[in-house]
Amino acid sequence: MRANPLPMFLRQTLALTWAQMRAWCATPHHALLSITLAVSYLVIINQSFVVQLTKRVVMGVYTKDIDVGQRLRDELTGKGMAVVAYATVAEGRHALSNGVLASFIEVYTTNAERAVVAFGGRNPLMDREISSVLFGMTSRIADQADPLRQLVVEDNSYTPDRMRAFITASLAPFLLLSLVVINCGNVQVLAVEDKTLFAFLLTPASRWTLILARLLSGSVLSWLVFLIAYAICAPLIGLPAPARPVLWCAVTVLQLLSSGAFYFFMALVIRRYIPFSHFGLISVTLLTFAGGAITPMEVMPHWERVLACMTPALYAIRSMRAALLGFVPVQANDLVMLTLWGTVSAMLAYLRLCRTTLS
Amino acid sequence: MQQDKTTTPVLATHDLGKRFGALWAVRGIQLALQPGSITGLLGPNGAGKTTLIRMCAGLLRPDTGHVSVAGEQQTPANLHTRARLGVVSADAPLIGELTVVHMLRLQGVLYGLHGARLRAACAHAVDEFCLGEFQRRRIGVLSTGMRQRAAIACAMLHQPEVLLLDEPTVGLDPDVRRHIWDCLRAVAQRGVAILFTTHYLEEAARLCQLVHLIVRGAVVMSIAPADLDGSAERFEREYLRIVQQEPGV
Repeated sequence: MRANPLPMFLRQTLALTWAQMRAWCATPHHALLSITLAVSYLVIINQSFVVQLTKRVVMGVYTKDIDVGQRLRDELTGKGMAVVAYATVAEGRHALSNGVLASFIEVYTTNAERAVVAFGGRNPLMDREISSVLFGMTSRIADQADPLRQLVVEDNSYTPDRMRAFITASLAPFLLLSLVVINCGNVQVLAVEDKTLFAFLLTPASRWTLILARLLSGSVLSWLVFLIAYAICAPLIGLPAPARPVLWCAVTVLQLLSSGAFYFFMALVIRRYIPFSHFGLISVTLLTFAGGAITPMEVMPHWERVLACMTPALYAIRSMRAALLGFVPVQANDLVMLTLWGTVSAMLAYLRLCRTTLS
Repeated sequence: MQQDKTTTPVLATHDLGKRFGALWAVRGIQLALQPGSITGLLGPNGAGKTTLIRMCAGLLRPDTGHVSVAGEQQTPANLHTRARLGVVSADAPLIGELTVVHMLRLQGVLYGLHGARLRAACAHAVDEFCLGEFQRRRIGVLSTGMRQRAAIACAMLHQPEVLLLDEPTVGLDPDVRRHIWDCLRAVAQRGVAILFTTHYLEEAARLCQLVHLIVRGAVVMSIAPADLDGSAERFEREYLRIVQQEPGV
């Protein structure tokens, strides 16, 4: 009597998933390395993209007015920065060009009719952060000198915490894609190279079994590494708690499964480790940045917008941002596009697997 | 070209051919394996033995002809015929990170076994191939001989009708080789047809009922070692005579 095919399919899928996870657990140094790199990634992106004004940020000041000088010093040190006063403009400009200063502010007359703010121009992220402080400060000085020339610049609403949340929401899909390349793509290419794939292909199990098992094991492993890294980094560098935790987890899993199917299919097409690792590295970067991780789609040129719409990472980044930050609702359209991407990739992988032979 | 005498082959090849570029690695092969028979494929390096086994296993698509398993055509997409085959080959190795018992269980589930049948099949395989001492060890750390025994145990777990082996005893010491011969004889006595490739004349002479000599992709002679009174020396002389007659070998 033939067994019912559905329980058999589920049993085979679960057995293969379990075997692949056991194989991963048999090499704990791989797991440890994955978690360490994921933690490093989250720490470093937040250190790199979130500028905090500390004593390491040195501001230069030139003014003949003692009161104005004192006010500048108080405001800047109040923001956490260090201040150095210069006796001449030339000395200050020289220090700015040599990289000693992050910015240099000159206030010329006793009634503060003219103020000049010069930036180092070495890092736009830092200049943007400093500029919001300096504009606010100079506007207040100018305002006090002549109430008729009122210029109001509000303080920067993008606090480091909000920046951190935005950067994490934007660049976490990059980490997820990288983990998927390793746990779904690289593992599959290695199975082709060391030929353990063919031990499976010799069995009468459905090819969908292998696809689902690889996606499940790859997604579970990637998700575990991601969650452990996130949990470690949250208290360490103050990563934000998701505004909609359940939805955020669901979007994360959907992104893992969809991109997992894509990299599984590409692994079956490329079949060799070195070309696949090149493809994985470059495609993850392209998918993430063309998908609008940093630049908003609205300011992209037309051709890049078309590219972004065809980039599945766009939908992953948008829905991850929405679920983590909670400013806007998660769009059903984005989830549909992600699901579509995964489904098409899985079907292509199935067709490819049915044709896979040794040569 | 000689064909086996009985009429209901469990595995048959019909005008089987495979070409790599301009080179025909295998051409016009006609085989018919009867239940319980042991058939050897013997030939120099590059003769096409492994390519032939790969096509029989469904790992390679033939360019001409086809393989049929119990009358059904073998193709990479036909999953049904696969349940009838057991394959031991370097082309389909076991997963080194798993233990022997985990690999056996996985193999059993993939072949549709579960529950008490799976447990019984695993216990029987461990017992039959003397793997008890090593069943909790990872396959990657086993010796070549032990790994080969584990591979045969995995291939036999679902009780296939045909066992295909590609150089099953290469690199093994004489004791282990002899043990594997005993295992294969026991498997054949249960009615399983065995087809294997080998470089060892003695192995072919002692184990096989029929040996196909393959040179440059074609069967040039089929010898029944029993007709040579099982004499390994006579078999060797016959083999060398045929191979030396072939131009370019």
